[in-house]
Parts: sequence; structure tokens; C-alpha cells
Amino acid sequence: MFEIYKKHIAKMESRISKIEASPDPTKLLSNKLRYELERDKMLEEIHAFEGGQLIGHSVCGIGARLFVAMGAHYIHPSITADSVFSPYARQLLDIGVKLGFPERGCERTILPIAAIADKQMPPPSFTVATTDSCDWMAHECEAIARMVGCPSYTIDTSPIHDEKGLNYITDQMYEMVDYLHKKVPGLRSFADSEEDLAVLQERYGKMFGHIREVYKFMMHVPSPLPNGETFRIPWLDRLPKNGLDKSETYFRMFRDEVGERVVKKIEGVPGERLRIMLAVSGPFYSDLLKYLEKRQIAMVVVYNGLVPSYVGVAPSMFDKNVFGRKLSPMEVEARRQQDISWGSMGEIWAEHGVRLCQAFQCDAILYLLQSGCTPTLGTWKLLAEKAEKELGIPTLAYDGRMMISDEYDEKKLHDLVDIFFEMKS
Amino acid sequence: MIAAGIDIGSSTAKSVLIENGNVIAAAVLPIALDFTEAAEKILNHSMESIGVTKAQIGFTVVTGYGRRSATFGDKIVTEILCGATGAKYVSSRIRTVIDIGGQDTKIIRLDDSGKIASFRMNDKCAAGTGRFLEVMARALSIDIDEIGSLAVESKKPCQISSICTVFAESEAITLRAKGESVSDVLAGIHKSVVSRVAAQGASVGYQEEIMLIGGVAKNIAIRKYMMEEIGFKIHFPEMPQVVVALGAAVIAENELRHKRPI
Amino acid sequence: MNQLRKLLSLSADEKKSRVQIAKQCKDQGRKIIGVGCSHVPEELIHAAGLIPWRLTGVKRSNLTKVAEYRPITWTEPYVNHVLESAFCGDYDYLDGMVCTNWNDDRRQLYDIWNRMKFTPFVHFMHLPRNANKLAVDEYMRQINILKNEIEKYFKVTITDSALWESINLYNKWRELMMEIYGMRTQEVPVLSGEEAMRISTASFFMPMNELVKELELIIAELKNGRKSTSSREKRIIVTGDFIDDPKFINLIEKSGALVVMDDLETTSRNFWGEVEVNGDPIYALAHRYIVKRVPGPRAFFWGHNGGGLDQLIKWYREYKCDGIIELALRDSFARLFVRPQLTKRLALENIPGLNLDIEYNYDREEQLRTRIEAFIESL
Repeated sequence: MFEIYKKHIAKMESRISKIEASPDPTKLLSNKLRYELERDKMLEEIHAFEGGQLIGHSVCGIGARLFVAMGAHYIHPSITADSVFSPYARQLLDIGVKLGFPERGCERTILPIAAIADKQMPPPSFTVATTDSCDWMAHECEAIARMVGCPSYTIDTSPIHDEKGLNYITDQMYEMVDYLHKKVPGLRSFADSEEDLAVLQERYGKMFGHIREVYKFMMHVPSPLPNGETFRIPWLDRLPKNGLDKSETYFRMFRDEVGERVVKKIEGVPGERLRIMLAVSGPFYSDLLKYLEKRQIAMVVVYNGLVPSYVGVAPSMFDKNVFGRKLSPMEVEARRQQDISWGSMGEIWAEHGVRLCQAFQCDAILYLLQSGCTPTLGTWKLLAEKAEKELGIPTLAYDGRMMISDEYDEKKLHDLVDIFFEMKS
Repeated sequence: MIAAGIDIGSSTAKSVLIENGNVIAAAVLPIALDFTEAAEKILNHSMESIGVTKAQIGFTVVTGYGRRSATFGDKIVTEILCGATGAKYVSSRIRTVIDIGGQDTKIIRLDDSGKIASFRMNDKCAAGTGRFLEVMARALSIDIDEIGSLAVESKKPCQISSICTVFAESEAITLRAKGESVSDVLAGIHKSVVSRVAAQGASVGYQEEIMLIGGVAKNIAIRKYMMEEIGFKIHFPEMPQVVVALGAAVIAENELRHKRPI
Repeated sequence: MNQLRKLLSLSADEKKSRVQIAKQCKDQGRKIIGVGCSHVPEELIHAAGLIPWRLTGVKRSNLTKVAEYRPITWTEPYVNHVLESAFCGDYDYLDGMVCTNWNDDRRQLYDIWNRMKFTPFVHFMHLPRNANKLAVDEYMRQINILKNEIEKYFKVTITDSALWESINLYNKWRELMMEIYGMRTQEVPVLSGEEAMRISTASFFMPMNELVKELELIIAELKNGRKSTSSREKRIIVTGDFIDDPKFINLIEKSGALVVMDDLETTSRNFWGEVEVNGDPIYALAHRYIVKRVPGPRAFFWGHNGGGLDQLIKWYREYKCDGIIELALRDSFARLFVRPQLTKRLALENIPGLNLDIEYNYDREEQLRTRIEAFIESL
């Protein structure tokens, strides 16, 4: 059971030991804490399952605070898939296909279902499905619940992120917590959890502030981080429930290190000549980031759904007075479901993308037409046209699956990078 | 000093030699499997044709599908830049370059300073490339060099509805079996290629003046239908399949001019 | 069978019929609004004096224009075909377009249509995936927004009485369609599956008041003892979503079965379940489109709580079927993600099923035929 988890934990421990034995001053020292947090999170999940503790799965980050305040652990199945299951994508996808799920689909939503079936990930005591991201993620948690036979609540969000939309989400969340409190023995009521939720939101807000500062540092020229580190600038959805002190230390340290690199004008990509925004993601199995570095191209920001709110080109759940008033803790949590750009309308996706390119002084967008990613696959041209019109920068689109390397053509991707380099040289 | 440009394509290798801004040799040869061998062979062929030696070649730029496999050459450049550079050399007024190759199609738009403003490549699918025409020619037992002239004789082109080369081949054979003339079927095939390419170009945006390059540009039916489809006049250079190699040679000559003396 | 024959022939050359009917409507000074989803309350559009016009796409084999705007593989074919038609100018006669976020691809139908300004009026409605009170309230809000936008743009006022009149008309259509579909439970059905689909999809391009009159006459003809010319042993129900090409149904019927029922967004799910005529008409519409109608797989509760899957099984039994054929649009997430639920349920109910992944346009006939024939032989 949990063999993949255990291998990942061992990998983290090996990295920690390596840093302890001989820390490399040219690399981020805060990575040691990062790997510890990753290890701690996974151990916590295993122990929670073994100890019969409550575990809630949800693909919108509300679980990180709300489920925890109500007394459960939280797993974001898709982010876990990104971090942990990607090297096993083919074997897990095959299991998913045997279960009847489509081969031609979004891996990060099918892999968790397969992983639970194969006893590689702790199953949930309950799930909350939300539509804030996309169709796949909306139904992923519902499918997990149907498979394991646990209670599930579904929250429907509108792609129009206004105050009326917020009210709609909040009303459903109140229903949700009531429902789960009744159906899941041991889960606290919301009334008993609200105060703890507010405290968690405060703590997460501080950590969020540190990440936002990191993004501001990334706007500097030259980029202070190598492409690999930029790609994995952390989110807040995968922290250990009992590790918030360490998490706070880590984010503070990470921010300080990046800031120092800016002050010292350390080039993350030696000889940086060009800057790009990577849209959606990059295939995990590819050497894209290294190849970009070889061409002295800094990948300064990854445009996934949450980044606009992290950076500040869109309001985030932690920003105050978004609708001109103070929000209740439940409303703040509801706001999390309005933070995702690719869950919104196409013009918003395009607008946020252009604002990011502007803020990070990008020379081009490298856009992964990720097979199976329904919200971003069909909207690439909206962003490309707007970027060309408003900023005069090209969008280089390439296709591939995020985790399955079967159809990957390395040469084509290198060609695209080479062409871009020549265009700008 | 002579500058050399070598374009290692999927089915042919091309080379152009330039001296003092003038083209002094150009050659096209079919490729076997070894790209390095192909590059050596085509360069030797060009040199022999005008009686020069390797010592007289000051700079070589290699481009094309097999460019990374060639073990010699002073610089590797993509076909996009070479295609744009070659087209500009032929005519400085060119703003859109359409390159229909054996395995891929490229549309390149240039700005007024001659730099690449945007481009579009289709290298995923054989439809819209020379490969599509080759497959069809074989299926209909017609020499590839004759399909264009046969197609333009058509008075009523057939509709080829499949976009997949495999299914389109099947469709073409079925049409012939049903009694459609070879000209009409070929015309339908050519129109199918053109409509794919034209749509890609539309996404980049056509700006005059427009040039069609690549081996397929020799095909008179492609020329005719392309102009009809996009509604613009198109330039057809004398040796369209060497324009990319020409661009590589021009880039090589620029490098020669900027090279510091030892 | 003159009325039936007349309607079927209109449907048989749908492209030509659409152009002719659209021209007639435009000549009368009427405005036509494209509708991109079966959840858009067409009654509201009708009450404004506009003609709702279901978008179906001309089903070209080569999608060259839309391919430059969005990948045509890994994306929903229905949306691609509709957009291709728009890019090719097939919808130049439309004055507006309304669609929902039935799925991510449908939302992009709006996004791209709006960016390209294929029509001067383009409107998006958020479509909830639950069927509880909050969802109904939300959809009421959406319908009210649509109402306000239509009134503002087309300078009309949609009164409650006009709205009720339209609701009654559409309810009449639903009643007639359910009556026609009811006749398909007979041992020797009055209609083939292909004919039933053609009659269902006539509402996509015929003004509703004319269609209702036609249907009344057709029902009279059917009641006069018309029997389907097909005599098939095996009775099949097809299930799927936005499929409107009757050639798929015809292929199943040519392969030795009779399609006695169809669970599709374009047929039964489009008209099943009337609007309740009392109280606030906006609430009545929201309730019908969210709660009362048979849900498709995009709804969270499709597989349980009396949802779409339960209805499919109910129809299977009511229409005395021998098997279910699922026609799933290639790369259409909603259908493919719930397939395990469908498979499990069919196994539980001991119902034979065949899953076919198809294109939106009729294609790959021989590959499909082989599978269908093998399935029917196994029944």
C-alpha cells in the first residue's frame, strides 16, 4: 500500500540529506524545508489513513483551511498527482482506463482516481466537488466519491466572478458544511469551526503575502531564479495540517532568498537574453526548461489558473475589500473559487495573461496546448491575439500531454524555441 | 570567400553557394537515410559543379529537418529564418512566405524591416504537404511530376472530404472507380491541399507581397488554386525548392562579413 | 402521410431548408437568435418576438478554419462544427447567439463567437450543475439577465403574458412530441428512429407556431394506422448528447434493429418535461430547465438521485428495448467521464450495451456498421 508515496518520501529524504551534507550556496537553501514539508505532508496523510482519521478530498483549495478547521485532513488529488504520480503516469492511466475512464483525457484528474483504486493514495472520508476550474476537476471528486462510496457535496460556481457569484457559492458552502457535518461522523460543525477557520486564513494570508513578494521579485530583470525553480514556485494547497509553523518559516526563507538574489543581481539563467511566460504548464517529462536555459531564455512566470491572483493582476481570496466590504470567513473561503482564471470566461483568461506578460516583461508566450485540458486548449488564440495586439509579442503554441510522453516530439519543441530565439535576435 | 547554405529536408537536400552577394551554385539531391552523408554529398556536388574546394568555403550554415544531425557546418539556423531570408533576397518586397514542403508547411509573415513578425507551422499532419500529393500520385499511378498539369485540365474538380491522408487515398481511389476522370480527382486533391494551407495562412494573416516556396511550389495546379483560394497575386521564384538553402547561404555570408580576422 | 412526408423532406435537406426558412423570416422582418444549448429557455426568446434557431453546424468533413483558432482534436466536435460554420459564413443571417457553459467547450463557443463578433448580439448564461433550490434561484437570475439584455438590445418588452403565451406554445410542442414518442412504445412502431429524430430536430429551424400545427396534423396521420415500414426484431434505445445527424440512427436501423427511443439532448431530453403554468413565469422556466427536464451527464446528479441514468433505464424498460447503444461524441468529456457509471449500471441491470465513439458529422460508416451489426447479432 502507498508504495508510490513511500518512494516519493524516500526521494525527499535523500534530497534533504544531500543538502544537509553539503549545502550548495548557489541553490536555494530553503529547498531543504520545502522537501521536509513535502515529506511531512505525505507521512501525515498515510498516518491519518492508518489512524482512521478523517480525510477530505477536494480540488479547490478550500479544504486546506475549511476541512482542517472542521477536524479533517485535506488532500488535493490533482496537485498530488502533479507532485507525486507523474513519473508513474502511464501505469496509473492504464488502471484508470481499465476502470472505464477515457484514455484521451486530463491525466491529473484520472491519475488520482486510479491511484486510490490501486491503494496508492489514501481514500477520502468525504469529497467536495467544485466547478471552479474545469469540467474534469469538477467531476473528479464526484467520481472518487462514487468509487469509494463516501458522502460528496458538489458546489457549482459561475465563471463570472462577481459579488452575486460569490453569494451563490457562499450559500452552497453553508449547505455543504451542514450536509457534511450530518453525514460524516466526527466532522465538526461550522459554528464550532469558524473561529479556527479565521485563524487559519490569517496564517495562510501571511504565507500568501510572502509568495506574492516572490512574484514581485521575479518581475526584475534578470530573473533571479533558474527555470526549474520558477516552474515550481509553491502554492498553498499542499501543506501539512500540523506543519504550519514550519510552512511559515519556509515561505519567509524562500522569499528572503529570492529577494537577496535580486539585490545581488544573481542571474537565474546565466546570460539571460529573452524572457517568456509559459502558459498552462510544460510537459513534466520534457527538457524544455533546460533547453530554454541553453538558449539563455528565462521562463519568468508560469500562467496557470491561480497565478494571476497570486501575482496580483487579479484579486485573490486574501485581498481585503474586493467587493468594497469585509467578508466573513466563509465568504473568504468562497472567494477561493473565484481565484482561478481558466475557470472564468475566455476574455478574462486572455486579459490576465496579457497583464502577466506586461508585469514580467515577457518577450513571448510559450503555450502548451495540453491534450485534455478543456479550459485552456480552446482559448489559446484569444490570448495569442490579444498579446500580439497589445504587446506585440508572439505566442508559440505546441501540443503535448502533461504527464504521458508517448506522443512527445522533443525536436518540434526545440525547433519552436530556436525559431523564437532567432526571431528576437 | 564563398558562403554555403545547406538545407537537409526530409526527402531532398539542397545547397546554395554565394560569393560577393551573388549565387554561384545551387543543387538539389534526393536523400537516403544518413543526414550527414546527405549534407556532405550536396555540398560536394555544388562545389564540383563550379570547381571550388572546401578550403574556399568561408562559412557554412545548415538548416532543415536534419540540421542537428549534420556533423559539420559553422552554424545551425531554423528553416523559418532561412526561408524568410531567402525570400527577401529574391525580392525585398516580400511580406508573406508560404513554404509547402515534403512533410510540413510553414507560413511566415515579415514586418517592414524584414524581420519575422509571426509564423505558423503544420508538421503534425501530412494533409496540406507534399507527402499528401505523393501518396495520392502513387495511389492513382501517376508520375508525381505530372499531377499538376493533369489537375489544371479539370473542368469539374471532385470534392475530397477526408482530411486524413489514409482515408483521402481511399476516397480518391473510390472516385476513380466510380468513373470520375483522373483530372477531376487530381484537381480535388490539389484543392484539398490548398485549402488546408490557405486556412493556416489566414491565421497568420496575408500581407502582400506573397511568395510560394518549397518543392511543391513547382506544381502548376498548386500555384493556380492557391492564388484563387487566397485572392492575392503570388510570386513564384525560379527554383522554389532552394530558397531556404539560399537563405542559409545569405546568413552564412553575413556571418563571413562580421567574422573577425584571425 | 403527406404532412409527415413534408416534414421529413424539409429535414432531409436541412441546410437548404434552414437557408430558405431563414430567408422567409428575414423577409418578414423577423430577427433570428442562434441557440447553442438545449437549456436556453427558447420561450423567452420567442416571447420577445425573435426566432430561436438551434445551432447545428453544417457538418463539413474538413474543419480548416476553426482549426486555426482552436485544436480540433481533444476538443468537442459539436462546438468545432458550429464554429466552422460560423467562420464560413453559414450563420451570417443570425442577429444574435445565446449559449451556456454546458461544458468548457460550450463556454468557448461563446468566447470565440464573441471575440469574432459573428453576430452583433452575443449572450452567455451560467448553467448550474445541481438541481436544488439554490441552482434554480441562480438560473432564475440568469434568465432575468437574459431577459433584460434582450429587451435592451432589441428594444422590446417581454411581458408576463407574452411569456406565458410562448410557454404555452412550447408546452404544446412538448406535449405533441411526447405523444408522438409515446407511440413508439408500440410493438410495431409508427415511426422509425430516423424519422423520430427528424421530427424532433425540426424544432431547430422551424418557427414553433408553424411546427406545432404540422405536428398536430402528423399525429392525426399516425393515428390513422401508419406502421413503420421497417420490421426489425431488436429494439434499441440510443443514448448520447448533441447528436443530430439522423444518418447515425439510420445506420443502426439498416444493421437490423429498430431504434424505438433516443435519450439525446437533441431529441427527448430537449422536450421532455413541461413548464408548470403557474406563479412566476421566470421561476417556472428555471424550474423546468434545471429540475424537471431530464439531465444530461454534465449534471452532478446524472448518475443518481433519480437523474438521467435512472431515466434511461426507465425508458429502456418502458420501450421494451433489447439493448442500449451509446453514441458518444469523440473527446466529449461529459459523456466519457461518466461512462464507468453507465457501464456499472447496465451490468447491474443486466442490460446489453454498446459504446461507440463518433464524430459529429456522419463518418467512418463501415467501422461503425461492423460494431453495430456484431452487437445486434449478440442480442
